[in-house]
Amino acid sequence: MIHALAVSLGSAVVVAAVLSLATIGFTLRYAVSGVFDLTYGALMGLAMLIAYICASAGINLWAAMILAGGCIAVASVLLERLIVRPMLSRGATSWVMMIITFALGLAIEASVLATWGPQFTSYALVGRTYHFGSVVITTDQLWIVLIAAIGTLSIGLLLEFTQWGRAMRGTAANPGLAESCGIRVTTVRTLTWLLSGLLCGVGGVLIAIQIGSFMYTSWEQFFPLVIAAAIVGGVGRAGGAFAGALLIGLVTALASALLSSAYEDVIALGVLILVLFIRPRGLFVRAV
Amino acid sequence: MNDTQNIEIGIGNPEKRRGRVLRLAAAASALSIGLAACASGHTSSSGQGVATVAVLSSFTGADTGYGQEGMSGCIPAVDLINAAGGVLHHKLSCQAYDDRSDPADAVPEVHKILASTPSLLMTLGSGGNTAAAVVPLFNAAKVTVFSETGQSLFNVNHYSYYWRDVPVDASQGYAMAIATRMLGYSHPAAVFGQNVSSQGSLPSFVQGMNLLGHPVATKVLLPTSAPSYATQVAAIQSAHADAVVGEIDPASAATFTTELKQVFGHLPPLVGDQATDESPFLKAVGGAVGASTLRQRLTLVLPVASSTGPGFLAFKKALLSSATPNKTTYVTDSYSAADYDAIITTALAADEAKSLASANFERYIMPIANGVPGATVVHTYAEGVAALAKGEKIHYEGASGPISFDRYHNWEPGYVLSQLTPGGVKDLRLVPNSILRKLEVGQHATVG
Repeated sequence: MIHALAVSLGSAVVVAAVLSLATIGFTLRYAVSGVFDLTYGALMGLAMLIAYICASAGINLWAAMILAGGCIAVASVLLERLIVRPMLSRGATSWVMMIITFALGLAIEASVLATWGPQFTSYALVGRTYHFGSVVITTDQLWIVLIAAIGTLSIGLLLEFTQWGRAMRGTAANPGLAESCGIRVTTVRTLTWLLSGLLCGVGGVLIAIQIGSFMYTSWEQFFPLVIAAAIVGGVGRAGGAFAGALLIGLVTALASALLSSAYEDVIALGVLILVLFIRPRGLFVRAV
Repeated sequence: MNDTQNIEIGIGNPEKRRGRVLRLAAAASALSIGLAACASGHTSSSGQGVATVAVLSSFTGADTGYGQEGMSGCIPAVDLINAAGGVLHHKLSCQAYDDRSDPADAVPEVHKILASTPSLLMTLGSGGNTAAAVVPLFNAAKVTVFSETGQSLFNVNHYSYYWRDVPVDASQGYAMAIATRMLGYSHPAAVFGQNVSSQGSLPSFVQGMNLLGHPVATKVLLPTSAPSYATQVAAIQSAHADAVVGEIDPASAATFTTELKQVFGHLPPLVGDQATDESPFLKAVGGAVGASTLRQRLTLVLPVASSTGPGFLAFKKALLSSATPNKTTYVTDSYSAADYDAIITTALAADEAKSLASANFERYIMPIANGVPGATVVHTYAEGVAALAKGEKIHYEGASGPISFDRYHNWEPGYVLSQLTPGGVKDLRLVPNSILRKLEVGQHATVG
């Protein structure tokens, strides 16, 4: 039993680390612009491929990951400037924006599949393994946990202690009031899409590293987990996103260890419903 | 006034409105099936034109890659048939339809195929996740459908137009149990994916191990595409399993085997089935744990098929000279070979019936595949057409070797243990049929 619990905890930490950056990016994007962006998953998948292409060209994988994150950041800004902002200025509701981003996500997916095809690829990482009691972890997973921890902490510090962070929080809380206080809301939104795009790209590559082999459509399996973690943690909260990812990872791992892996998804979704039933805005939500 | 009335009617009678919508949807479905049946039934046997082979399979989704396997069987078959003059002067073409491994996506594709393909010769490719939804529709439209599901659901069926040229899951599970014992493993972990197409062999594998006197160490169902399988791997380790036997979808298998290797320090022995021999699986898992490691540790339990016979060599030559993408990958792919055979068999049946309509040629498929006394054995479409022209009965033995359908149009093959090699697969030992038949009727047996 203790062995199973330890393994579950170790697995949950790795899963939380893998999901956390993508979840934080997603939740920041929603908090500051009010757009539940359903292109996000397709962009994660694109980042996996960009990193693969860069790594295949001989670039170090971790540098390739940053490059992929940069590409997705630029793509996100273009998305915000060319589609999201004009649509919002025309009075598009959040539902309309969801539909538009959903359609755009499908278009991105279809375009990538048409050019790249549905083929499995792998970063082919060979790392050492380390034993921490019952938990076995690889060098790459240690890097993933480290990157996620640094990323989460940095975003948390940025939001709490920098002018930009305060501007983001102000914009998220009340854009009209923020603007009247001299905050350039449109610039804040653009910079937020840039940052969340970077997190989306890096998060996508971390997922691809963890799962071993991937194809472009692999994002489809993990995007629901990203959304679930964001909702459980409270959409708009960076720390909440990490806690949500940890909770999702822990619950699924424990369900598998203590009951049966057949009920893993059932338990995870059950917890999601229970959390929303008790706290409809998420576990860790408060005014940003 | 009228607008207001319309709104009130809409709001006040939701049941009526829903009923109307459902009736309209049902009528539209019936109309599309009916039109397709008419189109299929009225396909002319004279004149020139193009007839279609619809490959309704998974080009995306959990079973991604099945679609390309189907196309890799279809393209060389169609090339050979067209080179021999076509079927009743009709050139064939392969048309791909993506079911996304999901019945909700597959059913609209069926309606699309039926409504928009006037000269539909046959369809192939529906796998375990979608077959239960699509086979009844094709059958109702009187369209020949070769399915690639091993599900027991079809072991006894009433679908005249349904055929299965892949092994039945239950039989495959017993064969895997025997193979596990033949390899000397006595305490295996049964690890199967949680999707419909993966776990069909699980019950018979577990029962087979019981009947052989060596119950499985643990039974693990893997949720599809989870970010980690650490707890499942820990359970296998705790159970002291000496091998991992099962069927898992490629994406999940890549993550699972990576963590298996990570925890055990090496990849434990794996025993897989026909799905494990597929290109997407080999690419995904080979990429994750290393292709050479996978070749060393994985033993396959496959239907007996000749990889040197004239039928296989014709398939190989046609595939390698075709425009199929990544064609070398599919030379030893048993699903591609089965799809190739399905098309050649159906085309020969159409030739013999002198009709492109399934309703007319369906009854010729069984004798061509199983053979009848005095039939001429043919290995290619051209040989078959030549023999038919002489008025001979034919028995087609193609890329998969001899196939024998039962009265429900299912195939019960023998099995062989095989190992992956850089160039394909190498057969090791035959699974004894005598033991297989004992397990199938619930008798205890011993593997010597």
